[in-house]
This record gives sequence, C-alpha cells and structure tokens, in this order.
Amino acid sequence: MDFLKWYKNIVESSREDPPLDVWENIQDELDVDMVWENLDASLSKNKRRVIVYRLAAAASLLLIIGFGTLFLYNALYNTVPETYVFNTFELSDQDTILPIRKKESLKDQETYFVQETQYLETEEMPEDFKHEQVKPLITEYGLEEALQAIPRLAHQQYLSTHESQIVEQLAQIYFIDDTKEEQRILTTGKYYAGLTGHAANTWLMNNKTVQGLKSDELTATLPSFGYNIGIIAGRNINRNLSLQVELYLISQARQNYNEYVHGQYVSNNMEFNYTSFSLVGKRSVFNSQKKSGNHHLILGVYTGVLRNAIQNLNGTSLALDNDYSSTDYGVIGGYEYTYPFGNNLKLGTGFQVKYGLKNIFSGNEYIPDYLNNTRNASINLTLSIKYDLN
Amino acid sequence: MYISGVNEDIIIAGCKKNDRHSQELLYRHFARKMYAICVSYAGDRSLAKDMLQDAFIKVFKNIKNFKKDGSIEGWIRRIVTNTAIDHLRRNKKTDNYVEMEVAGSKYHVTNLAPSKISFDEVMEQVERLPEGARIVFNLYALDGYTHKEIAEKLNITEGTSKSQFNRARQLLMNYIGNLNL
Repeated sequence: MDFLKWYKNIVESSREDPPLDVWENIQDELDVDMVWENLDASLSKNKRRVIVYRLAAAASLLLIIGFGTLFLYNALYNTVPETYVFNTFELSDQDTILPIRKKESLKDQETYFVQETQYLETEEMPEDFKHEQVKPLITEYGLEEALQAIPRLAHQQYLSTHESQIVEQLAQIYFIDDTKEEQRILTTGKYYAGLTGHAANTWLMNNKTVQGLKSDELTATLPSFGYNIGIIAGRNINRNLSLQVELYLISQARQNYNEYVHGQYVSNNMEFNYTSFSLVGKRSVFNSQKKSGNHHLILGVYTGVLRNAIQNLNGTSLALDNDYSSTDYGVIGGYEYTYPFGNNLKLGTGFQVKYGLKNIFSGNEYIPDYLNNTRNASINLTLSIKYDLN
Repeated sequence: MYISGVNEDIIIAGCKKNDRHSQELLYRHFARKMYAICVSYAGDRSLAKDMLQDAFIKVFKNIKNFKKDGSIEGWIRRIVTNTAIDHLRRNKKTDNYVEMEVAGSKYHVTNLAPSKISFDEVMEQVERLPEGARIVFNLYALDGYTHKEIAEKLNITEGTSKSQFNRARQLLMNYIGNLNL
C-alpha cells in the first residue's frame, strides 16, 4: 500500500475518543456565548425601543406644536366662523335677495345695512319696520324669536315675502354686530386667578411597573394615588381661547409595589415630591349661547423640580434623591368644564393627563440610567375655583 | 446522510437554532476523526484537545453560514485544520522545518508501509517530526492540499513545501520502518 494512503487511513480510522471534558468545555463556551448574545440582543432591542419612543415623543411634540399653532391661529383670527355671519335662505330667485356676503367688516356691514334700509324706505315700508326698529325688536323678542318673528310680523304688516327676508337679514346683521361687540367687551383682556387641586392616579412608567402588572410576576404593581395643590392665573385672549399658568406647590408622584426583597414579600412605596409649573392653552368647545357653562380642551407643558424622593420599604424609609433627576418636564392634555356662580366666580372641573418626556432615573453605582428608563405619568381629576379680576 | 440515525439536514438545522442535542450529536459523530487529525497536527494530545475544542466552538458559532454546497464533514474538517494551524502559529511552531542534510543523509527510506502498527505508535513517530514539516506533510497527505496551496497557506515557497514534505515523509517512513525491525 502507498505510504500516504496508509497514513491517511490510519489517522482517519482512529478509534480514540477525545477526552470527555472537551464536550463539556464546548458546552460551557456555547452557554456563555449564548448569554452574551441574548444580552446583546436584549440591549439592542432596548436601544431600538428607546429610539422608537424618542421618535414617537418627537412626533407627538411636533403634532402638539402644529395643532397648537393652528388652534391659536384659529382662536385669534377667526373668532366668528364664516357660516355664522349670514344664514342662507332657500329662495327661488337669487337675484332678488341680498347677496350672501361673508367676512364683511363691520363697517362694510353698516354701509350695507344703510343702503338696504334706504331701499326699504323707498319701498314705503311701514314705520315700525324701518331700520331703527330692528334692533329694539331683537332686544324685545330675544334673538331667535325675533329672527323668526320679524319676517312673519313684517309680512303680516303688509311687507312682501321678499321684503320680509331682507328685514330678517338686516336683523342678523344687527345681531352679529351687536354680539361681536358684546363678545369683545365680555372676553378680551380679562384676567382671572384662583386655586386648584388635583386627585392624581400616578405611575412611574418603567420596566418594573409594566412587568408588575402581569399576574405571573413576583413583583406586583399597585394603584398609587397622590395629590397636587396650587394656584392658577390666566388671561382670556378672546371668547374661545385663554392661557393659564399653574404653580403647584405640592405635586406628588407615587408608585407602590409588593415585591420579594431578601426573601420576604414586602411593600415598597416610592414617593416623589415636586414643585411644578404648567403653562396650558384652553380652547372653548361645544359651547352654546344659551348655556352658562363652558367646555374647554386643554393642551400644555409642565416642568417640575424634585424636592425629595423617598422609598418606604416595609416601614423603613430611604432617600432616593441621588438616584433620580432633580428636574422633570412633559406634556399635558385634558378637559375642563367651567361654570359661573356669583358675579365673578367660576368653578372648574375636569381631568388632565400628564406624561413626562424625561427619564427621571439618573442611575446609581449598580444600574446605569438607560437600563431603568423611568418617566412620570398621571391621570388627574381637577377642581378649581377662579375669580375674574376685571 | 444520517448521523446517529438522524437525518444530517435535521441535525444541521437544529445546530443552526443552537439546539444543544443536535450539537452533541454532530460533535459525537465527528469527534474521533477530527481529534485524530488534531493529534497528527499537534503532535501531542494536550494541544490536540485544545485544538478540537476551539474548532468545534467555531463550527457551532459559524454553522449558520454553512450552505449545502459541500459536505458538512469537509466543512468541519477545514475548520479543524485551520484551527490547528492557527494554534501552532500562535505557539510559533510553524517555522520549525527539517534540516536537509539531516533528513537526507542519516535515514533509510522505504516505500513499504508497515501493517500492524497502531494509531498511537504512528502518532509517537509523527510527534518526532519538526512542527513545520509535520504541518506540510499533514496538509498534503491528510487534507489533499497542493504544494502551491500549502505555500500560500503557510507563507513559504512552493519549493520549501515540496522539500519539507519529502523530508518529512522520508523521516516518518524511516521511523516507522524502524518500528518493524
């Protein structure tokens, strides 16, 4: 046999087993490797999640700013919707009635009114329905009834249908002028101040809290409540919009758990006490002329300074100030219903949802901040009393 | 092909998913042959054990990249050979070649392969070869590399590869021939 073939054959047909610990060492190495891979994958996943959260927060912020800008613009420059200027009438002959005119200035409307009244005068309109009679009629009948009554009365008192409709439109012009002026006086430049209090369902939004909501976890996340007390001041920019600042001297964030610590199932209550400041815009919605109360949507931002952070572990208190950031900031959304009582007082109630945009966990010697990303969140039932200053 | 009664493809798929049972089946199936190759390169069993261990860790870490365009045995064997050479390089043993005069003058050359010699006895003689010459000889005799490929792999000239192979073969045949005497 050829020597090389013989050599190859004797090597490849060896029956000698490798030492037993080779496979054990291989397994150990693979286990370690797997742990690192899992850890790496977990960290990458967390990083991806953080990126997604940040993008979502940025997108939300942009949306809030965008809608806020639109909201302010509409509130400041379009206080009376176009459709509110004139009602339309289903008339057969469009050429014979007053044209539908939108976005007329008050001056234009006055001129228009005078011109059309002159037209009515030339048509020998009865004295009771001349233009100087229109306003007293509205005052006497009330707006809605007057609008319905004027044409009917006018018609009954010798006016043609066409003329009745003109009278109705004139009445509306008067009404609008009158109302706009009234609104301007009522709402612009008014300041108010007051007190507010919140009953808050607070959450520390982090991995432990979320995991603790699962029934099979040893740690149990419990509902946690706090309260906020503060003072408010605001200004009515116009009938639909007001800006309000809120200073909370007491603003609590709490989170309670039941968990295993050193082999014992104990309660773990975390409490964060802030002094916080909010700036919110309040937009009137769904409001009716007939009702006194007002509905408001609220959008805004807040910032807070941490006064102290305490962990109460089964009765033993521990200061956490060094583990958590001294500041926080976030966004606010909500709703408020205000109802006037007395001459200058208003009572407001509603809810606010607050969500922190900052990771308040600043890390410690054991856990870096990014591994325990924690944000404040709360749902607040609000009650406030406001006094109109002028 | 079946490995311990299980289709090879299933075992490879299991290894790709880090399934420990599949990994063990694959290891057990090839361990003896690969260990023998490691011993023939290393010259001693302690180093061979390290080579085998490192080689199979590489196999399991890289099996995701294995494609069915060649045999799994050939793929594992290439990893084992490269790992063996890396180990010897790390120990700076690859530049230890046979001196020509010694190999050529002192030993008797025979073409007759002895018959009843065990693996252990052969490896004892292989161990006597200088490491550089041993690698060249094994790459050529066991793994079928050409001298050109060996030269590229070990960063030596093709002529050196040829001469080292011839001398190593002569020495080994002489050693083994003497065992039969």
